[in-house]
Amino acid sequence: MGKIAVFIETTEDGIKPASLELLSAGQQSGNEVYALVLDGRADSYQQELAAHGANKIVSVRSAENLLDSYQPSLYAQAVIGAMQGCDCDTLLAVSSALGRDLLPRVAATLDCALVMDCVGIDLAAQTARKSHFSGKTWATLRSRAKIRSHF
Amino acid sequence: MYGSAILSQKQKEKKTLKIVVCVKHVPDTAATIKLSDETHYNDTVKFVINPHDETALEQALQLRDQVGGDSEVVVVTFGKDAALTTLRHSLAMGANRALHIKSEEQLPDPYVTAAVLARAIAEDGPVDIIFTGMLSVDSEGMQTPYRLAAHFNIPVSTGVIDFHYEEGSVTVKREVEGAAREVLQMKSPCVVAVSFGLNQPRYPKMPDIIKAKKKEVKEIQLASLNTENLSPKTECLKMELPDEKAAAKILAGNVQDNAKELLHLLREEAKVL
Repeated sequence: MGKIAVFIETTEDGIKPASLELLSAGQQSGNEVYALVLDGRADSYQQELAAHGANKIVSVRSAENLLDSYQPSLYAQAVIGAMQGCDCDTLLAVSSALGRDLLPRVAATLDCALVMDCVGIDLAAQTARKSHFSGKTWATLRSRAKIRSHF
Repeated sequence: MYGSAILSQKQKEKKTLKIVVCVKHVPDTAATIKLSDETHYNDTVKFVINPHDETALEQALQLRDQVGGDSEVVVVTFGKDAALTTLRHSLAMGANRALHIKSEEQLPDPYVTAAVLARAIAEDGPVDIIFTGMLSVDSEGMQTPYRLAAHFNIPVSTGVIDFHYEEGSVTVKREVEGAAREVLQMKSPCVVAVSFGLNQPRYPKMPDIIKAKKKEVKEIQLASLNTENLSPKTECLKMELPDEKAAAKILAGNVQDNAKELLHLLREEAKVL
């Protein structure tokens, strides 16, 4: 059983539903799922995260509460630190505006594979399905990196 | 990584800029894409400069003209021989010179693409700003600007819809969620990945097209960039065309019967109720 990390994206109203769906996807894959929370409110999310499949909840904090709102470089460093600290080799996050900025920063720092805007993933096979040419074709991509894939 | 100090002090003192624009040769968005085998598409369709990259190039040209002096715009592409067309178009728009890194791949892996571009850019000398489009309309990887920035250890901003430069400082406005905008400031050197709407790319005139034929296009063989140790992080296992859309069903007859039939179809066939 591998360990995968799920970046939990939150708003003032709480956890984004799509982040919870990723937890469920991680759980169904049979991996140990680590929910990464950066906004300092991990305690209040505990039940909800566990109910959706998080085995462990990792709250990343900084001095002066610098992570309370999105800071591109700091968030990338925090996510990488959490992944390495928990020995997770795969990261799942939502392809939101934030995710589209955060994930490439993480992948670029780790020099690992990244597939954005996936419509399907198979964590066991390390494959992801995404559109090419604005949906005119669909591609199945396999991650070949040692630190594997970020979807 | 090529270190953070890629800005040439000489250029800074002279107040001139070297601006690099990464451009990609992609199928026209109006083209019909067909597959030639399991992992490739038929690339005999019409190709153009990636539209986002064209916007990036326009911004680079405007910046060069704003700063003046010996400032120059260099376009670089990683593509097949046919990508020369996109480079010539870029030169006709006003780029000073071009670098063509030769590739045989249709859709190269983003990690390899960024590494190869970074090596060619670094070899060409110090640079102040690297412009790219925020995505390519073929593979839609959305990561090359970030990987480029990581290679040079410089800041990056994507989805840029407004751009200002003043004495080594770049101010950009970018799109974030819910139609919100944020304004960021970065010191050059930096990577700026632009979005549609930033400007209206110029249309090259005939004299510019003729002049462009005489401008320098430096061909760079992949092997010369020491790429033996570069292996793709992803591989394409399969490309597929989307399922054909089912033909629309038109219900004839009176409205009451149609409503009942529609309800039945939604429940039993579409199973959405």
